Amino acid sequence: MPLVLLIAWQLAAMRLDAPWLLPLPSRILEQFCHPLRSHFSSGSLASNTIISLLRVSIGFTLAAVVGVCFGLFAGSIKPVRNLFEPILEILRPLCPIAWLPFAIAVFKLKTLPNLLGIEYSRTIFDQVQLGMIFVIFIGGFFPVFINTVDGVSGVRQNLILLGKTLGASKVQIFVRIHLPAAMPQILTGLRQGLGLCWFVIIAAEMMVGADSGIGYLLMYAADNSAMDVVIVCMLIIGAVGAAMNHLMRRCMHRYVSWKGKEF
Amino acid sequence: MERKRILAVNTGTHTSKPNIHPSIIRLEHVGKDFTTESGKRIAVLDDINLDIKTGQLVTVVGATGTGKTTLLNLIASICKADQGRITLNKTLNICNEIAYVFQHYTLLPWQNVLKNVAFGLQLRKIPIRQRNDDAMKLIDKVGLAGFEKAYPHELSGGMRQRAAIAQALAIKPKLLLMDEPFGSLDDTTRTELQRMLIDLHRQTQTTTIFVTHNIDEAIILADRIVVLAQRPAVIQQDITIDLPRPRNRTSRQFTDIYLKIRNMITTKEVIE
Repeated sequence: MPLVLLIAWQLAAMRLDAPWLLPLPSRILEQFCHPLRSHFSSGSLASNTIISLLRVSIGFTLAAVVGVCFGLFAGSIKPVRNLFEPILEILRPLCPIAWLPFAIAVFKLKTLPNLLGIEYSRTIFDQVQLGMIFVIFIGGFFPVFINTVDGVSGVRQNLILLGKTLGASKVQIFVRIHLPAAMPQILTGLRQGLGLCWFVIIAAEMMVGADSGIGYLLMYAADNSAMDVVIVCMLIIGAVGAAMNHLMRRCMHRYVSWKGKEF
Repeated sequence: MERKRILAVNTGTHTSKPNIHPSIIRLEHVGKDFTTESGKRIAVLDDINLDIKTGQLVTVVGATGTGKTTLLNLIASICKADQGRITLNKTLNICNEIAYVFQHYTLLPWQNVLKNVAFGLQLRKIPIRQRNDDAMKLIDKVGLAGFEKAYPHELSGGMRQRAAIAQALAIKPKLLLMDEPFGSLDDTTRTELQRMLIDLHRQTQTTTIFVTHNIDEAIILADRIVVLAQRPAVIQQDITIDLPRPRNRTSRQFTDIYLKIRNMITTKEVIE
């Protein structure tokens, strides 16, 4: 199937003969072979991918930690859950990108080193703008939070009774029953969250004001009619997303293989 | 003296233990209501008087929906009685010495058999080596030797209940509550597990309250059978069974008791 697609592409590109619209597959391959070549003085494929990945890893880590902690808290205490539910229900459907103008207004173009009081660190961290991190955080937080809450609050009553009758204290029930029982859903939340973070960063980098990242490179190449670079960027974005998903799945398979097989 | 003798008759004579058993739990005029969605109050249990003696294996039998599970939940203090009083023996520690075996979902699906059986001991912070030793002995006793590393979803229904029984016995309970633990098993497995339970009871002398809707099972196991009538469940009859063990299902006495109980349960249903 991929081979058929490739041949069709090759034929179509040859017939169209318009590389600014549909470049030859060989052009794409050639771009792939030079990941360090700088495009339009905006950095290379590799450097921009790494910048995007760095932003996502920082933003997602933040979202995961806050989402899981807050989710565990809200999931196990009903009044807390009821208190926050209305607010979260309004904020949740909001597209994370819609937060970007707000984030830029609040954080200006402050970067991570600025936060530590360093003007310019001459490292890759200068590319980590707080506004971007904030938007990624928003994107990742909701799936993580909501799944954690559902997982913790939806534990089978019987298992809790089991713990109680075997003499577990409240803390023990939380640590030994709620937490492991919620683990599959927490991991599902993390998987969804990571996927969404990757979506969000690409979109955010394509917006006005960005000056680096794989999404930025894609947009910049499009403005310069370099469709080969655009397509390479698309392939990279897709591949990274798929790799993240695969990694999380492997993780789930390894740690919560019992899920779905309960009796 | 007179009282003692009556007690002796009541508790049966098939065991060669001393006949004065202290009661481990006593229910006096216990009632429990529950409110339907339309707001109507229905009495699930009504005026239940029950005195469970130490070491007995008591079965509670009744049609489905007669409040058998509610009775166990009251005893385990999972829920509170609306009327009456439940008195536990002073030596009985409610949160540490009552074990409960459910029909379903009674094992932690994310832990293997060994860890499941040792779970109660782990909660008591018993050192890992000792609790594993204890758990292994019990696993062996319930016939699961070789399966200690298996996860619940890899076991058959009967094996899961074996593990669940071991899990409950691991905490050395003074009172063991069982809610239709063999309810979803096939006949052969059920018979096997009944035999195992009788054996374990003989060895450990753990006071056991066993709920079932299967009359046959109730007679096979019990020192004493409590028959619950249907809504509101009152105790219809309290029968002491002193047939010799192992019991023969086809013996005359067995079938007599069987029919007697069946009539009690079904007549009531017809009236309803």
